[in-house]
Amino acid sequence: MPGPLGAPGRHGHDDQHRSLLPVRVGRAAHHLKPRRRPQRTPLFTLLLAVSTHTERLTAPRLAGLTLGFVGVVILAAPWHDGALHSSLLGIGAAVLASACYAASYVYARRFLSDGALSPLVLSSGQMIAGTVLLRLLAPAIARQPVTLTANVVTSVIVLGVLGTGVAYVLNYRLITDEGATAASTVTYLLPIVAVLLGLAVLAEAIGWTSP
Amino acid sequence: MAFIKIALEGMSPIQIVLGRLVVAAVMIAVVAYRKECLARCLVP
Repeated sequence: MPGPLGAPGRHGHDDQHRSLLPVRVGRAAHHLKPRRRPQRTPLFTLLLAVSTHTERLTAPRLAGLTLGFVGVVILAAPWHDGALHSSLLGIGAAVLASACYAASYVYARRFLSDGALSPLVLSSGQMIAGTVLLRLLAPAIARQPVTLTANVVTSVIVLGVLGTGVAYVLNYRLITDEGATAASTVTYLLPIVAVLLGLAVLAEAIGWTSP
Repeated sequence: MAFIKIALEGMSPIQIVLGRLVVAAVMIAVVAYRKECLARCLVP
């Protein structure tokens, strides 16, 4: 479902999509120092896909994923702030969210990508389910006051149309055509896009260690 | 995530999630109703 949904900041977790997960990621982010959120989803996805015999482990695939993971860790540079400054709760929530994302990729590949249902139908079903679940929970957990400025409304619309709607349709297309592991590597692109958008939309400064 | 940062100025994370889900669901419903292609057209 929605991608980086509730995750604040531009340091992108394993965001991209999954209805309720972004809420968990957003909460986890409050327990983690911003620089300590490397993308774990592709590695989790690969491990899960191989262990369930959904995909084969090849040397190039393993090498590519490892290289990507190392790059993200270097960008995150957890050693700068001290490795143990984040709470175990935050780290645990982030790892759990990554594992859930990975499970969703593998599940979609194994059971939903046989061509019987189009990406549009799969996306619709996932979003409707997520909306219903969240709507049921909202009265209890979403009672904070809302300030609807033009910028806020525009942002939510952009997030909904592009970050959730179009992104999910493309995500299912990727899973169907390229497989779960390859689709999950999209998360490696999030920091790059986030930095560029931060520069373009928020006029944020870019440094050598961004994000 | 730039847009998330802006949205967080007026809404909580869970409210943003609900808002974008609703927007996306409406968009997908419109696309489906009009029988327009999306994934295949965006990435031929």
